[in-house]
Amino acid sequence: MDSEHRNPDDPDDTEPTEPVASTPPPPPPPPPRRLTRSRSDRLIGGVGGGLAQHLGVDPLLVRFGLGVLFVITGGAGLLLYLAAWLLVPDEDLAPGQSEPPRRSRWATIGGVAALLALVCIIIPGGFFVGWFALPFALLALIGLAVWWLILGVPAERTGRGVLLGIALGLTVLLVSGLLFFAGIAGVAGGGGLVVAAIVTAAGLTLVASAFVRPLRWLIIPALALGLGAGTAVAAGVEDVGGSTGERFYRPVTAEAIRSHYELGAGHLLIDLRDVDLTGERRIDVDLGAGHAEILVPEGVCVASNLHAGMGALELFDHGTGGIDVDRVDANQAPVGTPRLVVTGDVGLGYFEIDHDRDGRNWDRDWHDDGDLGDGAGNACIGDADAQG
Amino acid sequence: METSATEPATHASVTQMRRDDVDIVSLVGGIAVATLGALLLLDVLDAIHLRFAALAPLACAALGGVLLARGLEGGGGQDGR
Repeated sequence: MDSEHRNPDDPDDTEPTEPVASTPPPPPPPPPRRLTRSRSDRLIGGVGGGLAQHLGVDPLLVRFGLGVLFVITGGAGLLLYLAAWLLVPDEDLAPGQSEPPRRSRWATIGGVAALLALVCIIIPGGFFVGWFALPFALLALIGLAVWWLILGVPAERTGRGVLLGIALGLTVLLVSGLLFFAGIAGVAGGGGLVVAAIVTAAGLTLVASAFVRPLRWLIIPALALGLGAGTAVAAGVEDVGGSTGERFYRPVTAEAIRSHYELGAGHLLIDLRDVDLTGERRIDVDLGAGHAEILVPEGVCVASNLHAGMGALELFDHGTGGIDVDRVDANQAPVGTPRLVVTGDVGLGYFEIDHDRDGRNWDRDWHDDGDLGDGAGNACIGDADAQG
Repeated sequence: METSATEPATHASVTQMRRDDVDIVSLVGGIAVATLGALLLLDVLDAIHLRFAALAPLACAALGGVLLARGLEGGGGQDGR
């Protein structure tokens, strides 16, 4: 039959159809990714949870970053968060999904924190309270972050779970802090090679464990030990040798003054106040880590050439500090005035030259490299100009 | 002729399996710690002179690398592997 003369009403008068492969319709294009505030992962406003979903990363990482942002921006980050809370819409509810219950505990904590912040701003001296509490709050956050890093899961969102997370995290931090100082002491005590070998072995063990059985708990202690040792090494502590502890020298004659004093780590006190100095004397002081203190009698012109790997340097009322700090005071003595030339190097710590140990102001701003007092005490020609 | 009923593993699936077998956080942390230890050894053996200018960025990179690896890993952590 000619196909042009078929009867459409006759069911037999149809063209045999070819079996057609049923292809599923193409999936609809995914909707554009939209930043929303999460409903299911919400601590305060759901901004962090929504941002984490949008970026596809762990929400705790985003919250940790937001916390750091708040701190380093001095509160400006908080305004950004509030703006995002107001401007970013809520996540859409899935069909049949009901609004999840509010986390009243977190809302309460957030409300109390906001009220405390308000009180700190309003009441006189409130900032002092705020600054006093801030380190503890940061410590708690760091403890929780350590818990999360080690165990791989956030602390349980109950009062007991959070406290447990903070306690265990801070315990790890405490142990790590001890290991940090152990690393410094190990290098200062001449055991740098052993410490370096331990750190290297720990690193290789971690690498191997990644393929067999992860030992994540080892990361933080190993880093702490390594960074402590690294700090001591970078400060040049190991160049001094293995002596540690307290060393007090109090010569009574000029002949008893050594030309060189050194200590690996600890407190080194050289008291020259009983010496009747004449002419020019030179002493060289080398301290790995700790506090070096030189007390000189009145009426002596002190010139100094000091270096600190990391720490602070002070000649009478002139102080400076930081990392890899040099201080040169090339003072000249008037005729008839004794001159003491001090060459000092402290790897990590505090080096000071003064007349006495009283009236010390520990709260000095070491970055303010200027005249912090009356400048009296150095019997030299002109002022003791500092070069930080 | 009989053929195997199982599909040969694709390159992508093998890569994914290998990735799942490795704990990235431990790997990154281990590399960071081992690098730090190697630098310390070199310094102690007087091959290099480690300064704060190099140590500080290294410390930041180590901590940042570990945190980043942990964060990009997702919420499952070790239990979720």
